[in-house]
Amino acid sequence: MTRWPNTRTLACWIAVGLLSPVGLHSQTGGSTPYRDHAALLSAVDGLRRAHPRLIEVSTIATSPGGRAVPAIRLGAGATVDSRPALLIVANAHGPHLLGSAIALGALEHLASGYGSDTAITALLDRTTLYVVPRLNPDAAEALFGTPRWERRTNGAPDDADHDGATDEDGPLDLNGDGFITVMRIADPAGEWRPDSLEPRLMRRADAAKGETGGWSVRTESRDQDGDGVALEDGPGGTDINLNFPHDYPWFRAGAGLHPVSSPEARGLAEFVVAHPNIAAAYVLGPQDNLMSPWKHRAGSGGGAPEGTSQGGPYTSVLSADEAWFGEVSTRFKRITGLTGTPPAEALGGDVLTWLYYHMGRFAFGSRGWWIPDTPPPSDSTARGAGAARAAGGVGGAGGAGGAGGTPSPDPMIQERKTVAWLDAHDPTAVLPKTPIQHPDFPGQLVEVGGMRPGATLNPPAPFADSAVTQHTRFITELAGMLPQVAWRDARAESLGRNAWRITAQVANTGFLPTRAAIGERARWPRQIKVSLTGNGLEVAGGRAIQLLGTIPGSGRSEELSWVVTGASGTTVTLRAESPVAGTAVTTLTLR
Amino acid sequence: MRLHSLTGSWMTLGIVALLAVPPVTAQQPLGNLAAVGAPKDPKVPVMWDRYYDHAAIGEIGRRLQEAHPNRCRLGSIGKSTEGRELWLITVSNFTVGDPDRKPAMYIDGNIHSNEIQGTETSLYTAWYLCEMADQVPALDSLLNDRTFYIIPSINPDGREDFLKRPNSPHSPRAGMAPRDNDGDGLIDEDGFEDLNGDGHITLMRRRNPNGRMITSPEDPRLMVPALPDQPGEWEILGFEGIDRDGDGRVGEDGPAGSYDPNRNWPWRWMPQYVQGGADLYPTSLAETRAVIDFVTRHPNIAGAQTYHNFGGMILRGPGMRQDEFRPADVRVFDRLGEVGETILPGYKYMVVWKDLYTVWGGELDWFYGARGILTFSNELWTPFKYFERPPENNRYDSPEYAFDRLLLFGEAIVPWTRVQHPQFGEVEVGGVKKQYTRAVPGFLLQAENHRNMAFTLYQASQMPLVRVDSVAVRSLGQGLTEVTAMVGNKRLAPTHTQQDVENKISRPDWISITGGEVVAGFVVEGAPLGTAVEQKARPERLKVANIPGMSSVTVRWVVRGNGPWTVTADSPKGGMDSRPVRR
Repeated sequence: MTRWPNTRTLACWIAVGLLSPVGLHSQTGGSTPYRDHAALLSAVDGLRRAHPRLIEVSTIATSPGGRAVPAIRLGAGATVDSRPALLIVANAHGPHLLGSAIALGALEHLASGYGSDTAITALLDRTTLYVVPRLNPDAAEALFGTPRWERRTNGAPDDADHDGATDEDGPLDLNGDGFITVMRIADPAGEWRPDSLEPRLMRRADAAKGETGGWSVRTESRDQDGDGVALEDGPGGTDINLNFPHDYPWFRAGAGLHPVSSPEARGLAEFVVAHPNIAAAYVLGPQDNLMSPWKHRAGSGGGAPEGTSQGGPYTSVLSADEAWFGEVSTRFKRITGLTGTPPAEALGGDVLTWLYYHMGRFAFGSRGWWIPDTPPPSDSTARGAGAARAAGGVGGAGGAGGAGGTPSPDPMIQERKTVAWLDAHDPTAVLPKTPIQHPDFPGQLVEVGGMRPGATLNPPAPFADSAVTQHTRFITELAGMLPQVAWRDARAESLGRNAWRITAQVANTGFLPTRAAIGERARWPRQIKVSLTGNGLEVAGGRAIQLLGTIPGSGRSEELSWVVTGASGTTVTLRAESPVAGTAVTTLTLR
Repeated sequence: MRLHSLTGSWMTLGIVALLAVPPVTAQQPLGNLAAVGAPKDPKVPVMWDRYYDHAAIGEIGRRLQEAHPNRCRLGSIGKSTEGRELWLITVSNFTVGDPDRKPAMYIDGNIHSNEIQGTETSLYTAWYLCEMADQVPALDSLLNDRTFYIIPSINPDGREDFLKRPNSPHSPRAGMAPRDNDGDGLIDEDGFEDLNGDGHITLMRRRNPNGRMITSPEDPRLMVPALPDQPGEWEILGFEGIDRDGDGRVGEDGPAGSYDPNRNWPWRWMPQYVQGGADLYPTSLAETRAVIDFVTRHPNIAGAQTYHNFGGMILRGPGMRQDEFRPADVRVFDRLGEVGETILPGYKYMVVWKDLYTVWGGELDWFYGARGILTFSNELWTPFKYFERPPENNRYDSPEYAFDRLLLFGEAIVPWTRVQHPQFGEVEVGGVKKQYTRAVPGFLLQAENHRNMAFTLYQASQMPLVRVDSVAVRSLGQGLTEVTAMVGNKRLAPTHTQQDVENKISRPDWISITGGEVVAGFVVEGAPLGTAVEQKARPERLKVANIPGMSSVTVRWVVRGNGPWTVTADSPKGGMDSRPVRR
């Protein structure tokens, strides 16, 4: 499944392997790459102290639960904040601890390689990484608490059921196993029945085929506020990965009061605004465009082109950007060796699409790890494609049964493979069903069981470790793909009597264009600013200061020319600077 | 005029006030017969023929609070980007009920820095309500039932810049948050420049035989386009400015055009390429966040008005064709707009995207879309007002120049004067002063304030108002009693807009009974002979999603015991009312 790193990086990986377990908070008793909030902060602090010249840490937000959201800057030299940078954002989706592990693992690997590994040293001398390892600390912490559960929302109190009380009716660990799982209630009117091939799974009975159910299925809880409904007002708050403004899901549970209403989302927004040198981003979360690269679709602007006042927002990647996403996807698969199609979460309100559609950056997303050999869903772009898992009754606390979404032909194929894989590799993940006495269902058989929260997102240590290795390689390569301006062929030509024609080319020697097509529309990243200066020079033709459009990568260039007047022997300085593509300066002498 | 401290300003006010004749206590009162539509003896004299600065707005609020402690409170909803208070004037009868539980009307102005008179209309509303409630019974009863949250300026930084620095009627529209408009990495490095030092940013023109403008034969201050076969005289060089950053453009990166505070609201916010001026992300501005926070914490706000200038419009959303206002709500908007056109001659009731232009992320759309609040935005002042008729098309004259000549005696337009420009050479500078064409001339300002206030008070009076109309009691035997209550909404607007109901924005209305054990509770659907639908959980507090305008709901309980009972209707936007009942 994974290709081992080449021998040069192998040494570093052994070192990382020795470092990582130290000081880790343990979930299960053994070593684990997953850290709770305190362990994460202490790991970040440890990195900062180990590499004081490479790493600076800031806090971009404090969650409603009072947890700091750190951002780590990694880079060598004095110009760290004014040269091309890669942003890594992880764990906006609360239960996705693997994202944090990858982000920190990559950080650790790169920081330790500086000075000994020539490729890493060159990279960190030229490029900066900004890493936000855990954007949703309140939700992530729920996988470390008692009971443990898959929480998506932050700790902001919320009166979801409008009864004047906040967060009074959430999940409860009824069987005392330390996990919030699923309960099934024997119920002649129930719509659920055990799967015939894997009886530990529940599936919806098909009434049109004459199937009876016999069970109803709900998240483990009871009606704590006596309003006749359970789970209608659970803890929190805002799901940070639903709180961003591109295609924001207004009024959806967990989406928050409005886009960017949470301090975490606002903290990231302000951070990106304050760092115009971010050229590209890598988002670790449920949204993927690396295994299934984004495709442009003909617009639905109702007659007017998308991306305009009349046509409204873009609903798919711009056609001019499609090839770049395709090529990075190809490289991603080659670099990581990953195969299969991870279960895709719908786009909208998430970090990844916001970074592309609104902030104009090349933004790439991956889930990091998934149960291998997952067959592709019938429509990978369909909204609610995740409904099949919830419908299987083995998901976490996502609410009682998911009625929405279009079911795949047989969602159980994937469910059965998930269970089989977990049986083989993570044997404690599928929990046995235990009978309980349930106060809301007196006299009815109620059983609690299902899957350990987070099990399908966060694999056991060996798998997580190889995911860290794979994605660190990709992150390293991606940081090397950023645009880079350079001067080429600058020359001065005498036009007689102190008049000169100056010509030069501004080239982009990096792989990515200086701006994505979406960036040209979004007006950031900023354009390349070119200036021509020299003592006593008058610019007669051309502009002393000008802004250039996009220069595609791989050595493409734009030719500029000026006519100036000045004395022979004058030194002319040409300067091209772009926050996302660096600064290039060249001089020439008039003669 | 700047208002100084209370003691120091009486004299100044008195001297100026001789013309406007509010009686002043420091001098011999001047005998008069009070006109209708004005306070007989205002405790806080304010002249309504001028534009007040930030300190004066707070001072007027403070004086109103001091003079009318049971009617007016000065507070703040937060701070602006530059740290100014966002003054909040709350007006209600504080001796009757909790002001934060009464149906409330939200009023603000001046979101665009140069659209200044919304502030005066808002302030005038606070002043008029405070000073007139003793004189006019309808206003007294309005303050018993309603609360007004008035924020005269939600953009005090921009207002201060407009009032105190050189500007044109159109600058600045943005607030003062620093932004790099032209993308060169520098911030606000190339704004307008007051070349002739008169405190106004007017136009620059240069004599040019190939220019396409000529001097109007009607008014030498006015330039008009030359006929297609006629030689021109002038070339227009734009507003006063100097290319400070050497990029070949003048005035392209000052505070004036950097963003639009009325495109920064989260409902259908779109990035720059869809909506110019949207700024960095929804709610990136401190002022936007402060208003959102305030409105969200005040679910009793049932109506809103956000004043702009200009054009004589009574605007409602949506801002774009992709959005849709719910039909039940449109019927309410339409009726209010119809009455508004009567109150405001020369004004038209319009839908933003259909009748004006497309706006994504506008304030009024957030109020309705996100909070379900019936909201208008009046565009104060219209060229109709120059001569009380639709302006005529005249090739060589314009109504504002004619009005300036005939009614303002030439005060509002700066005549052309010669200036040496470092880049353009000899130019002439002149044109409209900043407080003309968009802001209202002084002698008409009070009337403009009053008519717009009257429309907003009409809307406020038509916000929902719940009353327990009747309670009937019938014995069921075995110690059980059936209690049936009818709760009415006496006004045009529903307790919950359709937008609110469909998206469960505010909590339902609660109709409760106290005084005995409740066996069962029902909401009667399809009254009078309707079906009683039981609410099993918490039957003592029945949930009603909405009470439409000018209608009622019927609820019923089966209770044990002898009473007396109290039936209470508690609506987040329709207020509270109770009625005792005995067997």
